[in-house]
Amino acid sequence: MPRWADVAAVVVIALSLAAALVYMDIPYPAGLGPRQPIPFSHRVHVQVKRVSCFMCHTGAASSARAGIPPLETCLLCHARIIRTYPYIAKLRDHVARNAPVVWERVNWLPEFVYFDHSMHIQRGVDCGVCHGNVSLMDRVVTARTFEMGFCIQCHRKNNATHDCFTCHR
Amino acid sequence: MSDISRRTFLWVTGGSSIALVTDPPRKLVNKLIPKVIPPENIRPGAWTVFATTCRECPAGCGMHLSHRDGRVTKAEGNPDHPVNRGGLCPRGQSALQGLYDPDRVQQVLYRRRGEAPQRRSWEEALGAISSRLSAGGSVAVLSSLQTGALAEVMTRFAAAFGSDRVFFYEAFSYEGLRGAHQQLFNLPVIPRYDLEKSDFILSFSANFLETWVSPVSYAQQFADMHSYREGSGMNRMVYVGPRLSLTASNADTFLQVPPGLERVVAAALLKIIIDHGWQKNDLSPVRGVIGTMLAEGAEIPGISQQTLVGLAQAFTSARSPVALAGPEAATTPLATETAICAALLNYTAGSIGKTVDFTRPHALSRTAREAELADFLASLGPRDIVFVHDTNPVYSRPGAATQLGRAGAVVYLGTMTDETAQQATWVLPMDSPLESWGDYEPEPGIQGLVQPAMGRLYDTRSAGDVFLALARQAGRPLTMEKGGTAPTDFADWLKRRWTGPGGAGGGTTSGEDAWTGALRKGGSWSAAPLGATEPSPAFRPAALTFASTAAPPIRTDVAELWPWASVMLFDGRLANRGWLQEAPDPISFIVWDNWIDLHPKKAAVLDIEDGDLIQLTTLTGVVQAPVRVTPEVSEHTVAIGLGQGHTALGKNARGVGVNAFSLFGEPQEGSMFASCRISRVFGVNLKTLARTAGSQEQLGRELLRSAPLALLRAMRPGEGDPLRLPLAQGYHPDRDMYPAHEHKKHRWGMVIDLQRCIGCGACAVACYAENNIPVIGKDHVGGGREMAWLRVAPYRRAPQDLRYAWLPLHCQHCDAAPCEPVCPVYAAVHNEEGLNAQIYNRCIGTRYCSNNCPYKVRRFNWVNVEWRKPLDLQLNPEVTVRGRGVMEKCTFCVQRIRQAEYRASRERRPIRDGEIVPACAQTCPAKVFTFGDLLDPNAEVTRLTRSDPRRYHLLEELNTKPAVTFLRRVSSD
Repeated sequence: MPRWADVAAVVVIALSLAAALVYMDIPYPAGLGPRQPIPFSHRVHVQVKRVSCFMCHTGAASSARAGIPPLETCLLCHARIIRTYPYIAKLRDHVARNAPVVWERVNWLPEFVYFDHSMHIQRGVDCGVCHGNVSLMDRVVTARTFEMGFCIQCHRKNNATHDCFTCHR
Repeated sequence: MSDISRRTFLWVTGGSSIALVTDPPRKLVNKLIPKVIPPENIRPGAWTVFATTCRECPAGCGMHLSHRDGRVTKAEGNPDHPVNRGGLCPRGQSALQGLYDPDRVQQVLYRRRGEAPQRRSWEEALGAISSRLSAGGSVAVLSSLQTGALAEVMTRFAAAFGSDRVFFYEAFSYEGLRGAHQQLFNLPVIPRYDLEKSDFILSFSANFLETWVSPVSYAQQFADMHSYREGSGMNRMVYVGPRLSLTASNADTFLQVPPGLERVVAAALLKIIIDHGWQKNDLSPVRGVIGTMLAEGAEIPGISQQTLVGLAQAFTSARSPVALAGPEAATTPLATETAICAALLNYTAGSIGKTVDFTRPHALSRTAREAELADFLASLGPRDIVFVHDTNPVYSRPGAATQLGRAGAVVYLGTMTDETAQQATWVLPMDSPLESWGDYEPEPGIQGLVQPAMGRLYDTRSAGDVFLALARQAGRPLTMEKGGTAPTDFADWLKRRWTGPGGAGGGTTSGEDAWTGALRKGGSWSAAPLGATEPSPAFRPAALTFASTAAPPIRTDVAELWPWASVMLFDGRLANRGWLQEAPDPISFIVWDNWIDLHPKKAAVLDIEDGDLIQLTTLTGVVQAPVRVTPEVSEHTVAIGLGQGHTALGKNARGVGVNAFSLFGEPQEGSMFASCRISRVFGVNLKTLARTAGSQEQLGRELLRSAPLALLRAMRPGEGDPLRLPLAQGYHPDRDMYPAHEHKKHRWGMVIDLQRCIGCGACAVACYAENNIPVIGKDHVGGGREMAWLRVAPYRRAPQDLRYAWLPLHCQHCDAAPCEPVCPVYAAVHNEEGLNAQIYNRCIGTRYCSNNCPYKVRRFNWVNVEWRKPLDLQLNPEVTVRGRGVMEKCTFCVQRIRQAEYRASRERRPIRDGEIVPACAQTCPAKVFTFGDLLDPNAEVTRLTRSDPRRYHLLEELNTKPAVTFLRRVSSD
């Protein structure tokens, strides 16, 4: 058997193994979402650094939208922490130019659905119930498909309202 | 291959190719763009409210603008403002459509005489105009009414170039009132009328509920004064005039007289008062003139001497009567004479200083007098550079086009390409009042602040900035005081003016605090109104002469012209706004048009039938419009609405109706406006009128009910119709097919006080704004596809009565709703809080619900409506935009209910009564609507539905158990 065949066999096996790992979500147990302009890792911030969700998503407990943090919020820490890291430098450059970062949307609801974050947080619904285990996500991914069945099942389980006019109006 | 069937093969390939080509369903914009450094107190997805002043008419109401995500989506009345106290008229509501008007001027334009306009930059425009100014051009400024900083800048600007020609031009100048007060009291002003304190209003063609001086304020005061209060008598309003206007229809007595005879009625009243000795103040100086006028031709058709004596007695014996004079647009001597007679009535009844306050003249008193304006326009020549700001004389003044054409250059500063802009040399795009700084003082002591509520849509500037920049570039920078530094821009000028010594913000607090306070409040005013401490003005009647009363025309085809200002279109500046064009006229319920009103007798003589096209000819112009034959106008009168017939302005306004301004303006002997010839236009009439009410008759159905005052007085609290309440207790096994609904926490309900409703239609326009209701145009409305969720339908008060009353009608949110059981897909459902929910995403458009609705308040989307950009920016993000094939209707503003519920829940408290205010209730100047929770025993709605003696349900015989309770009108006569 020629030597190149051995190499090819090894490469094929290695690739298949890698593919299997990716397929079985072993390197990214929480999935991998769309690529963002600045590779902000929720895993690092939530699991490693133990930052609360509400630190950045300030509106979640008080308004309909959780809110995407303004760049100012990033600088609360990153004005001092790893200032020279290339992506942090890029972030600081955005702030210096007053140019917003354009993030890719991950979670979305249709226009005819009106969801209110504050009401769910207030009733003690954890963010993870809908958003999955964000603390394991490097690139945030859609954990649940937000279809009406998903909402209704949870409402039924928790004996919450079944009024159509709550979400559709 | 044999084990895969043809069907499976097609299924797999078809399905997979569809899956491949279609994107996963996502939002239109899949980006999230947070701010870098967010502004304080403005949160994405949350409302921020800016207090400002409405500049749609000279009334100067306070306005709250709801801002969200960089755009303004709703205008509401400022509840703390002393002028409108929370109400807003249809025109104020439409301010948003002015801001987002697709036909706004977006570019600086330059036009050589006779050529097409070309685009220029701001630098080129300012350079060219300023060099012309420094070369010695003679400056004149013609502007809509301004006060405060902008008026100051205009005056300084003109003065810097050696001119004092700054004229404030309003098409409705109240020439008559001002002329009269000058002759009698040497005060050429429009005083403040205190209708609230009055118990007897006598209006001579003054449509104070529609357009006259400060309509929202007067509507609110009238509703308060004219409402039913337990245990007290009813105050009265009498209207004397040729046409049944909205105000006339609200009167307790409507005396129909031909145009110009209002003053004869007033003079006859004066004579009766003198003869009987009822006067409180001496009238002997004018006794002779009145006698002469009445002696000449004292016949008032249709009004008996007995009626007049009764009226005179009622007027003089009232606690604090007031007489008002109109019409606002007339500039003839007859208008002045009417106002003189009205002022004499006020004087003799002792109202001056009580209900008529000359110490607080309205800002409208500052507009140019007719004579000044005529002289100015006639004097224009090639050396003149005329700056026309936010006013449209070419449209509203016949002859102004030629006169302005004689000027060397016309610089137009405005937001719309109207008729004046179309003949201007330079067209400079201005900020909408919603985007700019400014101030306005409707009357002394009330200073309103105008502040930008969002960023600019286009490359526009504010008028103040343009004047400052031109003066600077011409080498004569404007300063606020001699030797002072020049303010950097108009906002700086305004702020310095407010915070400086003697400024409106001056007072006990420091300037900056007062400025912030004024920004938050929307201006500066003292809580208590200034008392009329000054002595009432001296009565110094000049040598009065009255013109002789014109005899009724001899020729049958001649009639007196009566142009009237519409509550929706005012003087025509707002004609491009879809909401206002589609809002029905309160009396005729005609949309998107104007028409000619003609009395049946006159029509019979001239062989004219309803709907014919007729032509009116006066000395100044000719118009052709369809006719509406109606006894609402007096016999020798033709009435036509103002505000339509634009040749420019925009897509919505162009070609709709005819311009009635073209018919008058030249002074004419013995006429209030002009006399005109009527002729029928033969041939096919393609102009049909579109109406949204089929009939104004009640046909014995008692939809709009009233109760005599004597009966109400005799009733004890709690008496009245027993209502089948939309609650569990309203269930009765013999009557009801379905079991009672269970309401978890709330059962929303509404009470509508018909005695307060004046029919202005502000609620309907507010509903359009709040609920993203599409404007679908004349053809569709004419075809019965109107979309208004709320209509304020006129119904004749009694079969023989000319007057109408209005029934605001939207979804009744019935407990046993006929729409619900017929929906095959459960799109029409009863929700936990008693609302009749319409779930758009379930709806498949069978329209069964609408067929089964006895109130006919459901609207079907027959077409996919496209919002012309940027009108889509106005859409309320809290309300779904409905597509074609979907049924829609009033939701009681469920988005506001939810917001209040969520807010209360976050603050861990129950919802307060009155916390939820639907859009219709918010804007209503007359405070007709009360909204609340029928399950709350202490709520105002509960009290009214259970104990007000006037309560009734509409079509209660159908056992729908509606959640809307109406309170009967009160008939005192």
